[in-house]
Amino acid sequence: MTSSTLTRVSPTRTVPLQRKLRGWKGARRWVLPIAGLAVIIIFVIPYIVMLLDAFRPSSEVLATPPTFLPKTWSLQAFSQVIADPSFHNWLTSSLIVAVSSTIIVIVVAIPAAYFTARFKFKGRMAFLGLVVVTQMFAPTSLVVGIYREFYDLGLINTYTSLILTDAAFNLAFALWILQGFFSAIPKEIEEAAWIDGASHLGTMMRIMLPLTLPGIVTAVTFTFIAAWNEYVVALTLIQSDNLKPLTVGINSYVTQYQQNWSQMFAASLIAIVPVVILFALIEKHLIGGMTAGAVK
Amino acid sequence: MSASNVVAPPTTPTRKRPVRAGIRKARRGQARWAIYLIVPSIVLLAVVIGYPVVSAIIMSFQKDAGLDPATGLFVQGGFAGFENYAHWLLQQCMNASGQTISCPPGNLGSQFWNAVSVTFFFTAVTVVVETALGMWFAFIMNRTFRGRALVRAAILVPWAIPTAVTAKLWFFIFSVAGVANAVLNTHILWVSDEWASRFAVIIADTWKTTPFMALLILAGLQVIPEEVYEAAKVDGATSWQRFWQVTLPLIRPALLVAVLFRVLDALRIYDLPAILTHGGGGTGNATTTLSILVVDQIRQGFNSASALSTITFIIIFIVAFIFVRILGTNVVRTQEAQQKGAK
Repeated sequence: MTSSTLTRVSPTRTVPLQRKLRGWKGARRWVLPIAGLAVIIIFVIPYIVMLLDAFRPSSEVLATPPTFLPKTWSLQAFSQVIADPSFHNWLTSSLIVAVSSTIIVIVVAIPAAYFTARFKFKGRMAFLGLVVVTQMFAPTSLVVGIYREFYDLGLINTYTSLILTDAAFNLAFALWILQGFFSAIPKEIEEAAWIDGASHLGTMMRIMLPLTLPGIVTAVTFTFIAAWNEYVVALTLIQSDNLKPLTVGINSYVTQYQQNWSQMFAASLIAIVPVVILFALIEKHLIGGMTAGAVK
Repeated sequence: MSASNVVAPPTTPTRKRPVRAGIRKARRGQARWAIYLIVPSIVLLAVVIGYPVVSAIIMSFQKDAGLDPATGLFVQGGFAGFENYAHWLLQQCMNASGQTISCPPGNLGSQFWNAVSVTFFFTAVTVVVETALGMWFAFIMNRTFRGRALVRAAILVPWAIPTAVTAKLWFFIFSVAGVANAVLNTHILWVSDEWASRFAVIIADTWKTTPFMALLILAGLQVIPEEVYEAAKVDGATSWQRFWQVTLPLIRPALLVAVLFRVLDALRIYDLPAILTHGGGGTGNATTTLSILVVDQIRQGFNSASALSTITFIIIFIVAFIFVRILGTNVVRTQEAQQKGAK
């Protein structure tokens, strides 16, 4: 790209313009990566803090003056956390809640998204509008009503209440994304499958779902991350320690009475691993999934 | 009903007719049962979101059950009128003999207007900063350069990490002998000083949520075809002009939707101030937002907490309404256009 610009530079009166262009283009190759690097550093520093402190022995974390690198590298915090039965419980809770609510969202959203995309039924816009409105309510502003409802149903302190809440609050986004993907698939593809004798279910499973896969991936990721990260609802609905998800549970490493920062950071690092892996896997599809909704 | 009927010319060869009719019949038959496809969604939304909204509104007009001050008997509460709302909006409390007095300081009721202004302050500052930064990040992520995948990942990861973890992490960074003070060579009481604690919340929130803004703005940027920029370049527009007169108008709808979602989200901020400053900061309420007040109130009485949460979502509705009516943010249409445009 730049080489062609270079060769075109000739001692004519267009030189100033050409040189200006070349200057920016030449600089651009360096300026953008450097700006990018600066952004990376600012955004990553907090994680480096977390990582380095997880490898310090507890006694060193709050030592003054703080040193950049740990004086002694220690896996003590990690081994303590891994051996901690409470941590196992929190991890299990988080996995159960996040996986179940993601499954519910997908199972509930796919048929609804397909229906709203394919049929121009009366009240379609009203339904979609209502779905957007549900996004305006966050669990935080509804936590009273939700607490009361699950209290009446006897579901306080159960996974069920948490799973249902997480599923409902993430349904809107999944429905919207999938709806876009379904409406992008030409009707003729589906009709061709029916003419060839495929059943509705067969068409759905073998043709429609593979075509909407990027959308499903996006919806799954968003739901899983949101459910994995949820805090307020879990804090209110779950009381017994062994049912708490990680987000609520790990706070007990640092309280007024004890400050196990290195354990806290080790636990946090383990808590982000699933999210980061999931995220790294689908990062490319994620941005595509949000914009596209296209059959490619 | 289906587009194919309209498009099909009347001269369609007759042998195709039965097939078309068959499809039409299948479609009509399908329409009848297909309505059940949205039933699970409606049920889930009604049970987990619809019912709590309605019950919160009903509860907000009820009295707390307790001992009747006049008779000393246990009473089931009953209709309270706007009493619970007056508690928050006008700081009216009940004294022991059942008379209405203005709330004593320290009562949660007297923190209402403070919480409102703290919430709006956080919302205004974080949304402005995050939009500006998010736009810059989106431009970076939209360019092609070496190491772009790495930059994208680094920008997006903070958003994928639990807020609870983020808040604890920043709590550590902002502790008195912590990293922030060490780097800045200061001794600021980040989590307990009135203004420092507010800025600590804002910094942490910006770090956490800018990626989300960047992602939404990037989605809008990617819809703009390259030809538009080329045309502007040919016409001799400077990069500054290209930004203000080409990019900005074109991403306006996506940007407004992103800002709207962000504003609605920021108005409900809970986790960060709750964990980072223990819901206090300063004299104990420098970072108390409306959501924190709601959760605190749950322990002191459902009905009053319901009134407060109803007030909170009325505020959120008004803000959303202003966005939709005045700025013309059309969430439904923008998302559909984005999805179509990217085809």
